[in-house]
Amino acid sequence: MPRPDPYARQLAALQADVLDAARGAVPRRRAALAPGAALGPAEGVALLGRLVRARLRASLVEDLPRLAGRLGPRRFDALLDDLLASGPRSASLAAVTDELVARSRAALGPRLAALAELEAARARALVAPDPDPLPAPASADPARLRLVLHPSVTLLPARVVWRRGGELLERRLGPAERAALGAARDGEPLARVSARAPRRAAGWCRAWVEAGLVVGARAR
Amino acid sequence: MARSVPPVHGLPVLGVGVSLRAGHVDALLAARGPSGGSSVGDAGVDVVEVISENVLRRGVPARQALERVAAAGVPILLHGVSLSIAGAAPLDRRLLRELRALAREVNAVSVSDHLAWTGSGGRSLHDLLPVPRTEAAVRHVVRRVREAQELLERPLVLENPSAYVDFAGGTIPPGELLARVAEEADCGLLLDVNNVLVTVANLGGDPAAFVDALPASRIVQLHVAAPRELRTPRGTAQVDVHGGPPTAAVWALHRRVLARTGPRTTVLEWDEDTPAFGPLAAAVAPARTSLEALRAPA
Repeated sequence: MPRPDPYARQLAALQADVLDAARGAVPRRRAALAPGAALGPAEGVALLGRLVRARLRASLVEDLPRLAGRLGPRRFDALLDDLLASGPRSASLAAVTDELVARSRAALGPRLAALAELEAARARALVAPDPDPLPAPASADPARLRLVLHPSVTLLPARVVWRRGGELLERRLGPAERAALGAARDGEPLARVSARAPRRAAGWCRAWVEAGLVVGARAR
Repeated sequence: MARSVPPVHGLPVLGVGVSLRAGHVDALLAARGPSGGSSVGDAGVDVVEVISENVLRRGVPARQALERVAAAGVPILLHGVSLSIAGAAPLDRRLLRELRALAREVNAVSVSDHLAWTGSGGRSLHDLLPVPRTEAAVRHVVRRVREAQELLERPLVLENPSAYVDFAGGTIPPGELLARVAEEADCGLLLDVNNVLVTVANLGGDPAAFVDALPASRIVQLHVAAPRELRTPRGTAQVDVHGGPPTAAVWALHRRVLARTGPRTTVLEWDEDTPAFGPLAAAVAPARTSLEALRAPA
């Protein structure tokens, strides 16, 4: 058994207290803190908790503006409290948005969960990396070619969200095109993607490339 | 074998600058004129500081804006908030590699972050928390700064954060803690004058003793900002909100530091109700006056 690290234990205790304070709970006073000139330990922890809460709330409202508006402050703050009860786990504010949405699906119900997924996809598209440069594929055989989607692409049940340069884009997808693009994203060969809708697939592929949804192809 | 790290003293004194918001980029570049222009009297700033995470984690528009600034020849200081150099979890090597690449891409003058931790046990607080003032903490942080500098392939510059709590049992005075880390890890210091005043107001101590404990040659940059006062049962606390032009107390401590260090790049942080670029740049003018007074022949 590794010996507990006293340094890590100190940090974890203060963090637990601050997270308790951030969601309005009374900290368990696990951190051993010294009294300060103007802030006692409890006041300092409470102030830190308010700062943490305000920072996370501002970022989440920026990424999920319509969801926050639909829910109103009380229900939105309940989601934030739920997040603070066990996390957040990510050091990236953008990933915290995904964390909140993933945790909140059941509490939101289908319509608001779909809105949350859409807004999170928009936020995620803007922070996605640029695609890596692709060499020309070694083969033009559709049975071996696989389309490469832009890293920003998120496929929702009836919509796709992505970015081209700094421009955020999205459009609705019919069920057949959604299935074909999903198959391409999942790595199916171009021949199988095309076989899903033989008369329309070529047109879709051209449109995907023109829109920047597809950035190249690899032969495997 | 570890890669060699360029000396801290290689960082130039650039003058005065501001923490840049994406909405200020057009005004900054317009003020510098089509040929870059003379910064003084045109844009009012010689250098800009950019929050690294805003570029790495908050989207392509932020990166494109930074690329425009770099292309215009404006010196860029990369300033981070999430390295958690004093944390207990392993260093985020992916973040360090991304910082190294970004610093090369925009020809950054320096890469800084805070002497703080931001999370533990797989949870993140999204705030900067203080370091226990113990020998064990110094050893822990020094080891991690060295590791970070090897990955960055350049010196790391560490800033003193504002503190609202202090671990019991600390024996090393706050200024000495910062000095020990800088000397033993061979890194630079970004002395946030406002954070010194906030920390001392909240926890006690003497701001002059804090800054006088720091090795002048390690201080490569200064921050100025305005705190907000908060009445508490014990007295008046301060909150580091970056909420306006620096106070007289901030400028007085800034002058005291410059008297020891000589001219140092000084950056204004103003994040709450940030004004348009012109008034923002004007708010850092007292720093230019102090720097020019030090450069003037006796």
